[in-house]
Amino acid sequence: MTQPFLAARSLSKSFGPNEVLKGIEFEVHGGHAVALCGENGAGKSTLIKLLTGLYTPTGGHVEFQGQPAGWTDPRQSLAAGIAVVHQEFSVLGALSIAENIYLGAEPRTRLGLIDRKALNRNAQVLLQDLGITLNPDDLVENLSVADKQMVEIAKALRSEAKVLILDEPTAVLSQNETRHLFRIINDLRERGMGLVYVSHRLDEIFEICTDITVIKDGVVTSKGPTSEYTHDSVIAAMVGRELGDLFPHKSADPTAGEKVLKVRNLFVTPDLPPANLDVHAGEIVGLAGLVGSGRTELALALYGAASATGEVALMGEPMPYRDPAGCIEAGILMLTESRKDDGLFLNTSVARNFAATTPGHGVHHSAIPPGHEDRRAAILKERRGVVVDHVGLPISALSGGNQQKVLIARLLENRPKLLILDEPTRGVDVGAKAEIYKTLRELADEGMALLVISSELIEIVGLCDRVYVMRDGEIASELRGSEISEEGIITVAAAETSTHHGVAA
Amino acid sequence: MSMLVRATRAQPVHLVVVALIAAVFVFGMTVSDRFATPLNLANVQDQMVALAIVALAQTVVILSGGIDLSFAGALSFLCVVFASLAGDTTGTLLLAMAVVAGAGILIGVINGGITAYVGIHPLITTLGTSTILAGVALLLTRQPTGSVPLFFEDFTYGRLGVLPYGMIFVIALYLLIGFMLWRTTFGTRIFAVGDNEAAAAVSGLPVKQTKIAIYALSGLLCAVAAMYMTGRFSVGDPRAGVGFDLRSITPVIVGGTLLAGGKGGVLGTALAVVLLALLANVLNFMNVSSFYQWIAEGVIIIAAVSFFAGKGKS
Amino acid sequence: MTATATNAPTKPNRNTVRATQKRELLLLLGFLLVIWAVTTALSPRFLTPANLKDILIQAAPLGFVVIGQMIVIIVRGLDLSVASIMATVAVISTTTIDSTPVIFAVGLMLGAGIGAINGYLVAYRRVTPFLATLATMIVLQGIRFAYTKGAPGGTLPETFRWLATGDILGIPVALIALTVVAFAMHWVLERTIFGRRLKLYGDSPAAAYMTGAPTRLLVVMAFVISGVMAAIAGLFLVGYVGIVDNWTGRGYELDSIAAAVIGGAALSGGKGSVPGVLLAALILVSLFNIVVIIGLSIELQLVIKGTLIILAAAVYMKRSQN
Repeated sequence: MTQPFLAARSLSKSFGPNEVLKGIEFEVHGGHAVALCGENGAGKSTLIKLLTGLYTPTGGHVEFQGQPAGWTDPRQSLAAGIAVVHQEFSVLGALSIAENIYLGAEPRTRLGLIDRKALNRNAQVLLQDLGITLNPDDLVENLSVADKQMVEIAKALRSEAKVLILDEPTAVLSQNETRHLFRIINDLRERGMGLVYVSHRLDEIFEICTDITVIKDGVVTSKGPTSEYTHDSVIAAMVGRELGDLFPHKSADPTAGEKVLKVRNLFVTPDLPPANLDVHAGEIVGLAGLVGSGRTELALALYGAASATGEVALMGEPMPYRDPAGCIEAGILMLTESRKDDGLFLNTSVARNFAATTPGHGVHHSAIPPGHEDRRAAILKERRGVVVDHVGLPISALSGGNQQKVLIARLLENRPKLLILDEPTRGVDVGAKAEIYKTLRELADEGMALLVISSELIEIVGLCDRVYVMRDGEIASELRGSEISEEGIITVAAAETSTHHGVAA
Repeated sequence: MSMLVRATRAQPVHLVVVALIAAVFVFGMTVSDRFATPLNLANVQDQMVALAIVALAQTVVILSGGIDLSFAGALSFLCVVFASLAGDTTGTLLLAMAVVAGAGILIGVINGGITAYVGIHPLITTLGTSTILAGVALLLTRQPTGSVPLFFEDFTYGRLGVLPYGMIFVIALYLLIGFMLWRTTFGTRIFAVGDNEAAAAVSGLPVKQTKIAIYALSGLLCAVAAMYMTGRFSVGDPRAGVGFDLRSITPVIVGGTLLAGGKGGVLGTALAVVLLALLANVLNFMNVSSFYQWIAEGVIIIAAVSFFAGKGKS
Repeated sequence: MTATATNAPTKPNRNTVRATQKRELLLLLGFLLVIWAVTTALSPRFLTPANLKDILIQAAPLGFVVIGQMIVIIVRGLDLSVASIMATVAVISTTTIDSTPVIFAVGLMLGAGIGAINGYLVAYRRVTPFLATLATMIVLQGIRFAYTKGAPGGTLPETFRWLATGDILGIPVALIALTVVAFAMHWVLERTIFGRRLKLYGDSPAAAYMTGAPTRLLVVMAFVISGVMAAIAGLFLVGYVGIVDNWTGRGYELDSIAAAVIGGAALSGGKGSVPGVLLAALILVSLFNIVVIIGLSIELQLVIKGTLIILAAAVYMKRSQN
């Protein structure tokens, strides 16, 4: 076989005593798209950081076109031809599309000044090449998420990258935008570029990748051409267990319980149809739909964190909409989508994070005794399955799964009547996932009403008793029992979705 | 046209500032006959030169997401150094200019270096260096000292028609820095770093070196302001810079540059400097004491910032 | 989850948030003791009861201000108006009122009111704290100069002077007042729900909002506390100096930020303690005193202050990176 563009040779990385990667062998050849599969925490992102020189390996080395690379700075790998499209984009809102694409490599005039005309002209050519109709002089801050991603890819093409690494590129894209991206990826591959594709979505991997490499616990457990794999064999290599074990039983008669939440004619956005939905005690209701279909906005409105008008009743009592504080008092609690942004107090102890919604619990005369939260937080280890050396440690020291368990435990301290969970297992390893699913089902069995938002269809299908599917800001359909399937949801969610101006459908 | 708007980073609010300048001007003419005379208008310009230069430096730093509070100490220190070296010949003057420019750049490199490499908030870093330099200036001399060559002093008072030389120099500086922001890679990097430092780093920009260069430029401009001020006073005042740290920020903010970085430009600062200077002048003609002018300045800051805060993302 | 995890005794852990904070306090205390020891070795005039009492009295106004400044910094703010509040409150209340209790009552209300304006601008108008308080600082300056026509006059009541300079059983009244206020504020910050919410808000405003904290009220209250603290400091300072001056407290805005940073408050919010910032205030005032005692040029105080700010910030930065 020919020389791979980029390769890892018995690559290892340790952080102190923790060995994150052990003897990784990984190759990307020109004209190939390699899927990098693995659960969260398996070591995918560490591998990418090693491949681009952001981390230096503790063992083995990175090879570029057959030579040891020895990069110590991502700028060196970028110069060599390794481009990364990150999950969090590195495009700059204050600069124009053209300025972003040519950042650090602006075309210059003979005097060394930026050649503005050439800059826009070259950018225009690149964008056309990608089949995008955007004005290169527009500021990036006004672009949609999908278009920002296209600017990222254009940036990679500009640098004449040999290898393009895409980290969860479709997480933020609609169905149509994803199709467009796939056409571009195939096109780049056929032109001889090597691609690394990191994704959780197996369908996508089987559609566009030529090779698969699976990492589990820092070791390559399996690799080979895609044709040698099935969905099940990839999952088996990733998690080492059957998917069926992941989800608990479902409710026999979901709507039998008391109606906890009743929403009628709730306008989240004035110019879109209002939302109507119910959640009963004892059931887990799913809120499915593509990213951007309005799921999170609806949930935030129910939680008082976004403005909305309409009737919302909790246990038959009308909810006066004020703010999250009012909802918490009434018994609606919410786990937000992005832990790091608006869930965790990263520099604060685990115990105080746990007590954040209920700082006054068990306190007399409003004076919190020393060590009060630490004693309260003992329940985290005893009953909520949180693994932590000491509850006084900053919560940033915990793994994603444990952080999420602390946040869920925090909500339960308020004895919620309705629990809204937005992406409850995002960035959580598979073991913790199963535990979280089990906890949620137990809560429903105890009579709590749960509303779960998720982008992972498997999760909606496996966990929820009833599903509302959203499309373009409105609830398009309600699915029950056997209607709840991946196809059933996708059919509703992706139907006649409006196309975006930048990305042609 | 749109290219011109992009190049100058013009914002709709600048029309408001221009309208206000016009309104103040017309109002000034009704207040006093002496307002619209060449003599008075030249005076107004003389008043704004030093502030315009440090506000320009502050604009560049704020665009990059930083802040430079070192002007108070740095100006005092550089004024004393300049006056004590400038002597009375062209040779000594040029030497003094070189030394002061170098010292200004060095101060900036220290500010930028500590901010970039140690990771301390620039507010704290520059507050620290400013305090140190203010102390050093007073350690050098407690009373205004030194001198500048007479021809240099004359130059700072010289005029071309209604335009003082200092003002012509300021206009040239603004055009130069504006051009730099639009047409050089350094200019693009300033916006990139100010908009999102992490993203700029991932894109392969040398963020730390860029920061050092930005503060060095700020220090150099500060040195230029110090030379001008010393020329006007014809002596090096160890308290010359008092107040310039906070005063330099007002025009930047009123001109629509966001304290968060990445948004704004030198055009807004220039307009705001003119507006504030004219306003002060007209209030003087009305015999409004400087006490009320302070109140006006504070209210303008709040009005401007409330306006931009209301427009920004929630 | 497992039996071992449940039954394992909670062993002391060096990396807990509390242990880290305790080490920072010890570091400050150690530094203070070292400079005291060195100065004692250099000059016999330093470690005398009279001089120590002097240091403490001088540290008192800064102590009040820095507590307020720290609470604002905890909620990711900054209060540049403290010095202006000190002077404005002192000028307005002492030149209009003769009775000491009324002076204090009116002064504290004034301070609270100005703080509330700052808080309103920051919390409701979304003005950056730096600019909001910069504007209030300038406006207040104009108001008090206009009010006094540039030259405040009047004499201070005797009891008022005594409060700032007198002592009870040999302990300065100002120091007793600071101790009481410091304990109260420490209790509020560490033992009440309000204090918890303040620190949580500083760590993550978005998460605080989502966990039901009254976020705007918290910010307003932080600025109100800062305003009240500045008012108290202004009154004590005027009483100590004996002259009402339009520039009373000049420089305290930057000194208080310096002391807060040296005392462990981080501009990124969520961090700070009353003992920490008081130790820092004491360190600053001690160093100023030492410069005078050893007979060095007084301007050296500025150089020391500036160096200390940068060094302290660098040390905290290094610690938080490890």
